[in-house]
Amino acid sequence: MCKTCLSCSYYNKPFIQGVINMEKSRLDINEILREKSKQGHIVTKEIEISGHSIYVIYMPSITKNAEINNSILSPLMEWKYRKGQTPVHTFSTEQLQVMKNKDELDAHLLDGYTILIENEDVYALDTAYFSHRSISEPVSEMTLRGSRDGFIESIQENINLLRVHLRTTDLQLEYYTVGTKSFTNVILAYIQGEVNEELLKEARKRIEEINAEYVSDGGLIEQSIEKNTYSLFPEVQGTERPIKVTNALVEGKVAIFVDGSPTVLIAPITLNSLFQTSDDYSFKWIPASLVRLMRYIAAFLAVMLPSIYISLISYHHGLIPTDLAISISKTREGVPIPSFMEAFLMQVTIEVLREAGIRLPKPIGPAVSIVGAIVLGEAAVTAGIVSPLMVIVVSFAAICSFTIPDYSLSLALRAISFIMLFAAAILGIYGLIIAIFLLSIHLVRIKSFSVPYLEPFAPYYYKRWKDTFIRFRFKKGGSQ
Amino acid sequence: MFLKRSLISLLLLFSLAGCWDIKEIEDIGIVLGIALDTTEDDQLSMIHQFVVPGQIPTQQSGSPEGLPFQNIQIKGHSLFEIIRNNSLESNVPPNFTHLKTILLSKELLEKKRVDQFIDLFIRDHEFRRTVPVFITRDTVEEVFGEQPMKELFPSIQIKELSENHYLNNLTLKSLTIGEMSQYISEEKSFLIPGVGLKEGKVISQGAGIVSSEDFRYQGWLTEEEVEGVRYINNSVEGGYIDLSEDHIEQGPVVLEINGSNTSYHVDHSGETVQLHLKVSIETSLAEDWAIGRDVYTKGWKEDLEEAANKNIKKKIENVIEAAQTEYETDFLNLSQWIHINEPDYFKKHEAEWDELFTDLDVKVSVQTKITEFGTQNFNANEVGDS
Repeated sequence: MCKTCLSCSYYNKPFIQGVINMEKSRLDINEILREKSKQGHIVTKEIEISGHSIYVIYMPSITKNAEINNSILSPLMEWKYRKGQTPVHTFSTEQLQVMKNKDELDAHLLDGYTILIENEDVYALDTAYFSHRSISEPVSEMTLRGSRDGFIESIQENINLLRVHLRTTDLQLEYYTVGTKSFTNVILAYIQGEVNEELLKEARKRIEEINAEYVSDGGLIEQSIEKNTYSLFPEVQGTERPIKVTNALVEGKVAIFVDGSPTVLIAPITLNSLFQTSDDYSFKWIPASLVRLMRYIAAFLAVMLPSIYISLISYHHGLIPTDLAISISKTREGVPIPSFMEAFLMQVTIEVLREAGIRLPKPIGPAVSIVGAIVLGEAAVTAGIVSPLMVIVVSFAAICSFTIPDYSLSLALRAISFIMLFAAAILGIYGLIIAIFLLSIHLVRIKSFSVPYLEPFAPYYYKRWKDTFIRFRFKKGGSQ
Repeated sequence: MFLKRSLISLLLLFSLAGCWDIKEIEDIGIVLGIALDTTEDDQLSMIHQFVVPGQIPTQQSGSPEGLPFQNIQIKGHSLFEIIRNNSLESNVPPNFTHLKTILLSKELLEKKRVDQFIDLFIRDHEFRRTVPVFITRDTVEEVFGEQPMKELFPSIQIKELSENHYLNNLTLKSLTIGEMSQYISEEKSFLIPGVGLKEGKVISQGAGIVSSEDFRYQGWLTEEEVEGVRYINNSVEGGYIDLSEDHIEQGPVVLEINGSNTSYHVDHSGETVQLHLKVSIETSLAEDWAIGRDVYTKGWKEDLEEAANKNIKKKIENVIEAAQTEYETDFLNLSQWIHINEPDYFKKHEAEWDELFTDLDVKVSVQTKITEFGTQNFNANEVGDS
């Protein structure tokens, strides 16, 4: 019977001598010691205990020093000789991992393990400590109601957060390592039974096909697994909110976690799914539907409003109500540049302001908005360079684009609004219609992981419209 | 490669096209009204009422010095010539998509045929078929030059006056250029709503008759006659019946019209045709000058209704008589009821309808109902009608 230690799981079980020794490592100890002691960031210590010589190797930057002291060095010091035992028997077999070759040893050392060398045997003990920030609300995805936790840069913490929201044994995690230099851990998560096999195969294939040296963020993975490289529209959705990931997983989608990145990728997505927010589901269905509908209208305006305005005032004056036409005519009097250039310049100005607002440190941020609003808006109008109505139109379109929940989609729509602007400037409403046709053709063609992007509108599934423009009520006694 | 080339050539094509059709809104002259007249040497004269955006008062700068509109009068032999000669005087090309009013002078309609000079307004795509047409006996320059108090532009004022037809029966519903072309195609006589000047202000006033014979001006209807026309055309939506001249006991009374309906019955026996107009009007008591009158007195309501019937019937019969004897023109469009009810008879006599119309037997019956009495002081002292 094993009575070596109380903490070990082999306590009071038939003692098998050499559980540890059974897998003898074949390593050149001297060479390891020589190599490691040369590197400044690796600590190599030799301890003499009752005639046994033990080497301890660890990287102090990624290990907990207190833990090394308390649970490795102190127990070793207190070790008393017993027959047939060596100091390594202080530790339970669970704690110890036998290193078989040098690669394995290096990998564990870099993962924060402490390496113990006793005679010819090399073991590793987990003493890892990687710093990461605490869990906080994601800055780019605010919510009013519902959970406010956000993913952080540690993949294990992220899986932990996912488990908080999703306690099911059906949750499957597949581990991948991506990057020939960075060895980034990537986890493919899905729920067995919900997920479509085809989708799973596709996702696995695309992750395995990633051919990169260094992967630092989910966004890079996103771009390397996308098929529509020339499309403006995102093919996977990046989110920092665990609740969004759990919702997606329950719906049968897959999620891709990347170590070191707070962005988790969800696939497949549709245009419709990018307009959904978790708030839609936490409020009653009628107000939530109105908000959802408003978001669609706002997205339409963000893309179309400046171009419609341009085409009306430079081509189709007859379509404007007389009173409005007269007042527009008055406000534009004395504006030296054509309306198209005016709109284009204003749009560019707003994009610059928006970009500046992101880059600036928080205390200086408000300064940009003051400069933007007062100097550019007010002064440009008083100076007569732009007409006040154009300022209203362009800034309202910009505000509309802020209602779009997904930032990638918002970027895409802003780019499209420029295309629309050109189309309107060249051919008026006629040009706009052509541009809309081209956009529609593009949208019905692209697919995200084999799912049509406009589903359920373009492959027409009327029954699934319950969660599109409006969010229909939940069924009594069940969800959705 | 082919795709790339075709894409580039497509983009180049766009830049070639440029903004070829672009016309900034401040670079066009918005024309709100057109007034047509003739000169002494039988030429046409046309006034364009342009908007002058710089002179429109704003909240910040208050009201500017000049008028917010500019009337440019040009003479010529054809309308298109005049429109194009605007460019000799005005730096902005006229744009007629916001046209609100076409004003015709009586003299023009006397000298020129409507169906001839209306051609441009129907043919050109920039003119809308919904632009209302008006006729005036005053000089068009004066009517178009009078700035209204609240409204900025005379043309809009004229158009909006005609939209008050549901409050009052003294003016006609507006006649659009589209409807006018319809009458001309059907070879029917019609009425053009009139406007005029009264103490320096533009007012709605009567109507001008255009006969189907030569599509020229034939006569002028007064406000009272216009009221009769509206009952005949079944276009009464509101208005009032003033019974102050009908000697109602204790004091004059005014009824408000809540609704009215005219139905047409045609009796055809042998070669004679009789048209029977049945007008039923729903009214409420709007104003009563007799203090302390008991409206529940038996028979009083019936007396009132009878007086109203007589009043309206007289107005209708006056117009019909004027049409039959004075103008001998069917501008009331009574022919359509014969056409609808007795198509065979009408087809047979269509050619000679103008003569037949003068002898057409038209019977009028009016049925007024008072349905509401409103609120009044209950124990008011009878002051007496002194």
